[in-house]
Amino acid sequence: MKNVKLGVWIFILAIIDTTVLNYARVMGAVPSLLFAFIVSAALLEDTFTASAVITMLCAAAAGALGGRSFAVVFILYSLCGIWVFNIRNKPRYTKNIIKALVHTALWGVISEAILYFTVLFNFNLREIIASAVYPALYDMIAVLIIYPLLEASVYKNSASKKLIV
Amino acid sequence: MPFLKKKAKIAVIIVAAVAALGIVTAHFAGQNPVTNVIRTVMSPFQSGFSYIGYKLSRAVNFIWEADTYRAENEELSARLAQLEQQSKETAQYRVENERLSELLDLKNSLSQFETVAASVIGYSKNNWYDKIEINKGTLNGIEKGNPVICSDGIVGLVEEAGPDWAVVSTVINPDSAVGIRVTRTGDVGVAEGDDDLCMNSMCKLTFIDKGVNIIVGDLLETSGAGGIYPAGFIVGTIREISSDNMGILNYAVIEPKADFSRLHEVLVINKIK
Repeated sequence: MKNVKLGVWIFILAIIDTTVLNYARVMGAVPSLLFAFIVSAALLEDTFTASAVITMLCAAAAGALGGRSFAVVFILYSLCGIWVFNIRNKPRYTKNIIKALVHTALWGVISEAILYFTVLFNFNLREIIASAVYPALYDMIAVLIIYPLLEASVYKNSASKKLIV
Repeated sequence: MPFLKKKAKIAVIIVAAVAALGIVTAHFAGQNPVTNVIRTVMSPFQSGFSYIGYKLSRAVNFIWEADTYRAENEELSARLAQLEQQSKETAQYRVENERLSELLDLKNSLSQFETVAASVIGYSKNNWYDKIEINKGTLNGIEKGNPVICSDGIVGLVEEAGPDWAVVSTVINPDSAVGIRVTRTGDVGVAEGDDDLCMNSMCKLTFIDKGVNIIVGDLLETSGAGGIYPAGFIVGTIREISSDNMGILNYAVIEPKADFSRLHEVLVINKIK
């Protein structure tokens, strides 16, 4: 059942990411819901295998449907997901939602900057920052919505089983 | 603690391998198979959601820009009202221009007379057009008894004149009498006003030979007899002929050519040069 829910989540976010959100541009930026989902799932998942599968599926969908280089998007999103899962327990006693915001901002900026550079080979720092920072900020807003919903819909029972949350 | 756990290292290798496979495949086959499959599966759903997104966007934009639309609507409505008013005024100017052009042509054709153009500013209080008031008077050389004409035909005679006004007794006035000639036959007669016919803006033809052959539609013009009206000006047309059992003419009803209900400008003939 959990896998079905995750599958539905990925499917719906992929659809919304590539169709509806085009009409919600702010400062030319559009949020990447799949990236926000990768970070949220990496923090909520308990097992590495499940997190990696979720991450790669979302990365493949983002790379295939995003209109940008499949290989670059797939690598960047996958590595972000793997790395966030790897350090999900640090720092301890910090709420996951805070970690989600920080990871989204940090890895979002890095990913978008690398994507911008690999596509345009443009060394204009101002443009790189503008193309990376605004989407990352938008992703943080998406995480604020996706993380609680994901936790409540898929990981609700898992959270109650933990001794230390 | 190792930088990356074993499983994570394996996952990184898998990611790199998949990405490399995608690049190689795209390079040689022209298309990434993963992209191909995902896009093929998602395309129908994307179409539906894209349509929904478009409709939502339009609805949101409509609400968001409602104030702008309202202001623009008010501005355009005001502009439309202004343009309609201008159009109406332009149409009025065009009609007035045509009338004045006709009057000017008439004035130019009467070079042997001294004429004064005047505007009709009032009508008889009886609501019949037996008398009209014009806005020129003695200061313009207008005197009592001066004939008054318009582009269609004769109007009447100046009955009373002030410095900047004059009252004109029209041809349908019961006291009016105009010497006429039937244009077709040359027969002469008198066009007189009548108390009953005046209510219908008509007058009657009298003092004509009883055996004369006139028909409905015959055109009547001034004969010049009496020395008041110059000859050759249109008076009106025969509308009705009243005959007795023997076919002998009693009288005929004349419809004046001048439309007194739509008379705006007239020419007063002051004197012959």
